Amino acid sequence: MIEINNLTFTYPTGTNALKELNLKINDGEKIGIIGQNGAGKTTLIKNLNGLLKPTKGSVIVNGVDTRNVQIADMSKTVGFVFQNPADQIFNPTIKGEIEFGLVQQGFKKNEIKHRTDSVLKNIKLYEKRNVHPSNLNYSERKLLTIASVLAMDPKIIIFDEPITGQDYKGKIAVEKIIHSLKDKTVIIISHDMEFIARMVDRIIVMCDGRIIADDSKIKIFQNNKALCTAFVEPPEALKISKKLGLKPCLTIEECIEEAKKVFK
Amino acid sequence: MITIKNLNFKYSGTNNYALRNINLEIKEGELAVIIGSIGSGKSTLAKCINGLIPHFVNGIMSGEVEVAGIKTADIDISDISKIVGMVLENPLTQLTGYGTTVEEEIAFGLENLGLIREEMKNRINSVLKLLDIEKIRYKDPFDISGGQQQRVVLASVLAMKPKILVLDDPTSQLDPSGAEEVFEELKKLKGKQTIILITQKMNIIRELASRVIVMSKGKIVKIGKPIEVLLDYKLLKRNNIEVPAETELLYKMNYNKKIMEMLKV
Repeated sequence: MIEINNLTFTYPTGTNALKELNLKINDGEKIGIIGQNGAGKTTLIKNLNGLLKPTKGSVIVNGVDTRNVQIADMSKTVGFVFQNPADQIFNPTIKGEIEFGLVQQGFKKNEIKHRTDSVLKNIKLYEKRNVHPSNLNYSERKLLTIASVLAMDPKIIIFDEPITGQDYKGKIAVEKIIHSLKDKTVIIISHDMEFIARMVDRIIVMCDGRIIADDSKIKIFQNNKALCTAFVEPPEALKISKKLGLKPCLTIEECIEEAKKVFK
Repeated sequence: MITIKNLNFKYSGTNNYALRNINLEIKEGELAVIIGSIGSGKSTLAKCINGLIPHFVNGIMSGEVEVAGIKTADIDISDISKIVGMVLENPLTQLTGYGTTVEEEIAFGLENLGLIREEMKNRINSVLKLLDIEKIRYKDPFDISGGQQQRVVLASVLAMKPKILVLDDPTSQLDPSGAEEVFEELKKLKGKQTIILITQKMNIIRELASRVIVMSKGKIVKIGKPIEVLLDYKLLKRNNIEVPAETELLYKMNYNKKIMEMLKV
């Protein structure tokens, strides 16, 4: 569980990026964080894994106050997938990239091999395991960074813009992986509302360092005031279902099901 | 304005051709949108139009690329840059950091063209007005929003008065309001400037494009009107391109006439 109490974060430059945030995230929840660039989304998630420590207030992750632990220890509980794979890849082989975190965490050789092989097979890069990551395309590199986090099996996984720059095939691959994380707490930042609608149950809307709405996805996507303030458009499926007079649908699959009932 | 004949290109050190037998004609004033999955050849084609291929990127090229009547292989890349302006994905990779204001950033390219001061001033004033960024004229280009940064890049390129503007996924790093800002500027330029736009954002194509070029595995697989391409479910699926929600619904509902009417397709 994550408990955020009166969290304020001010950068050394004086920018007040988070203003007295209060938030509770339960185990296994799938959460989307949306809002304009500069709203405070990335600052918030960096406070969840201890990359940043609160200026005021506290962040308690599974009973541990982030101010009292090292980032290395936090990474066992909270996995973080950065937006740009280049920020996260630095090993000379694909296999080495996955093994690195496991070695740092002191896993035994057999366990490291088992986990590495397993995640590489999962993302279909096992055959290329000895190749330099720079030989992968953007989508594959993104999958590699996700796999290196999954290998450590953290309870909470944070994705910062996981599908930015991805094509259709890349998006589908990322979606499949996130869907498979059923028992994990998943927190996703994204500007793609179709993706958010398919991936999460609850949405937090941020604007100017504050949480302006926090509710189920269906309620958030019908909260025009919050969406407008955060400069966010609802998913296309919702607009289409309205035009067709159907019950509000957030995904096109739902919309098709509803349309089949009405239009014979 | 752009004529491409039997163009093939293979990057050195790779086995497969990145472009295969490309034939394409873009008329003056057109806004052609190129779509395709990663690795389909979109960015390589853009590099052929702006002369980075064959002048800068190593590889094997055959065929011809002509911009404004000049073969790109026959002139220096610095001369091609006067004809073809390029806007890249991430504004931060293109802002020069020359000077401390938006005005100075725009002036950088113009100084390199060797223009007289008066002409530079006129051009800067004109692009600032055109892109509605006069109010950030004296701001630090690194202290404005992503959408504004991309508009400054666009202004810097337009100030050089290129005959052709090529934009390679210019909104992929921007948030929705930033992307909207850039697309609004492109709407203003439509018809006045020859534009090639590479994008993954399917929702803007209908309003913006005069023609859509679909690429897959280094080839052009379709050139058509926006509506024709956007409603072609099988074409998009086959080529790993995101199918717009509306198209998915219409296809699955057998292009039901009532639904088409209600959606105003």
